[in-house]
Amino acid sequence: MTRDSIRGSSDRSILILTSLAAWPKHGYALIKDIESFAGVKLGAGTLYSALAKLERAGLVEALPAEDRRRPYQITAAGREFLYARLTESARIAEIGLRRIAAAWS
Amino acid sequence: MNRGLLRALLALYPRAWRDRYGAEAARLTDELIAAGETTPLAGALNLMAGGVTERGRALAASRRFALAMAAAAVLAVAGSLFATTHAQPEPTPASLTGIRCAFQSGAPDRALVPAGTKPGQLSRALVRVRVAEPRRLRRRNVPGESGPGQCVMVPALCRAGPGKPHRANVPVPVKPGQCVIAAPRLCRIAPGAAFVLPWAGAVKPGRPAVSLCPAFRPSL
Repeated sequence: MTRDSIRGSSDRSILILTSLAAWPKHGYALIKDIESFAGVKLGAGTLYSALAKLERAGLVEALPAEDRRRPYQITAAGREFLYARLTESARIAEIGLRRIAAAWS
Repeated sequence: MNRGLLRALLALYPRAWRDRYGAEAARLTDELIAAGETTPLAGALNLMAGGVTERGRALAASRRFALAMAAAAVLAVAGSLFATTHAQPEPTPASLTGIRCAFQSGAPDRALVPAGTKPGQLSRALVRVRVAEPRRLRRRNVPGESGPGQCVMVPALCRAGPGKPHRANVPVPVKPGQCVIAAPRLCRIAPGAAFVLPWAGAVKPGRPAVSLCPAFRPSL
């Protein structure tokens, strides 16, 4: 599992990394947080498939379980990866918005 | 959610995934249902979809492995063609003399160099290569291709044993008692041994390697 394969996957990985960027969260907290900032409701199967992929790529890591729930945190590599992806997305968004504005004017 | 149904749904996932994430996914599904965030049906369908995804991923990974092995086989054949056109004359068994060769991983083995080879002299050597080769690779062996226990004729370029191996592209003198190693073109080096393949660079123990040997002999 490489970061390139993460790159080519859906935005779920980015949503999870964004959610974990602030502090570690367990599954339920991740789902609620992603729903609040992105309006996307992930199921347990979807979430853990994405988490497994991110963990294999070294972008997130599991912490010791607390109260039968295992929190996950973003790694330094994950933060770097997320930063690069979001910067790239912001650049493309800026170009797109500028072009739309030019077409409207 | 019903325990039996949950177990059946988790059985859709590859075992390694299930062992690592199964309990967490099951607990989260229960939590989401209890909190009214999802329905048992939606939760079950989501687990099912995740299982299919993970199975597909595992299948794709094994397919990539198969493709890598096929690519290695193609490389070996290409190397064989190259070797055939660049083969050098071999000494006959009658013209060989024996030296003792101590491999790091096992009992002393026997290496043969041409008769009259003096200590310190550059030479070619026949060495019995004892490697643990996976069955998959062994099945692909063809006549002329080396395998476990078979011998190959290569220039004496490398040394096996404790310490740092010589660089692959630097010939070293052959002395009685010194290890001279050769490697089959496609082999898995036994754990514990340190080898440098003349044509493939450094190879870690347990890793498959491709070596393009210029000439082969069936056995000693």
